[in-house]
Amino acid sequence: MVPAELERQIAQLHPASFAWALACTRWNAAEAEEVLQSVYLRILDGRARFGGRSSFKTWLFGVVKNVAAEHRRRRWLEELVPWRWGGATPPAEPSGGGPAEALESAQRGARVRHALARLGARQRQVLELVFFHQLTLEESAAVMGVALGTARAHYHRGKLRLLALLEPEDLR
Amino acid sequence: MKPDDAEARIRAALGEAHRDDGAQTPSFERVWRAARQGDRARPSALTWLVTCASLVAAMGLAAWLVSRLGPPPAPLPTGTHWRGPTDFLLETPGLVTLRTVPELGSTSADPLLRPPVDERRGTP
Repeated sequence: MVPAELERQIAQLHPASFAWALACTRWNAAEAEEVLQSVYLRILDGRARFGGRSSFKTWLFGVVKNVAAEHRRRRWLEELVPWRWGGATPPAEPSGGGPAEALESAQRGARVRHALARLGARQRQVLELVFFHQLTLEESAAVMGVALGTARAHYHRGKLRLLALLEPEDLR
Repeated sequence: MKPDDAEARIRAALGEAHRDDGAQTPSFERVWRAARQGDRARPSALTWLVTCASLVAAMGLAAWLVSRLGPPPAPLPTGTHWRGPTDFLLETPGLVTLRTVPELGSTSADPLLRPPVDERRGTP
């Protein structure tokens, strides 16, 4: 792919990529930005190449997921070092204030994020990809690097679990 | 709750979860530029190759110099030449007889079994 065309496609998918990076980092905006920067760096230096075996979005989301997993492992190792204890960045909290409706919406969003955080990683990922990013189950399986049957099982279990975790007012 | 209904509600709930994403999203130009700068700051593969090759060459040279400057290594005792301190206990009187083939007409090879020579024989 021509570099200019590559840059154009990445720019077009940037908001969706950031939303996916947020989901992969449990809504830590600073970490999501770091992940996205690492992803772009890998694409620029050729460590991540689009082979054309899937759609560009599926491939890019797969890279984001892998880089986020690496970041999470590195962060976990850093937290093991005694002098770094307590140094981890806390997840971003929803911004408060504003009109009552916006506040209620923000609180509802926070409750949904909290419920999602209680799901298994793969259940959370497949629900995000299918319901928010509008990917098919096949594409979601490709992003997650699992078999279609595995993705389907996580999808069904995750859906039931999320419905059980959310309160009725969150599902309006 | 019907399955379609449940899916629509999950979709709406996830939409709520991502409601603030737009405000948090950094501009593409900023992230792209930072990645480009990181790309330039990273040493290239050729730089890594040259560095590693230099390091290996320096280590090889150091090893060669040390081997030249040091004293020659003493020959190590081998098992074939080693003789145990208590081996003399195995030297028994019949050992020579056991290890040699006797010849007809010859006296015993074992000095311990040989009859003593009478030095007085033949003297007046």
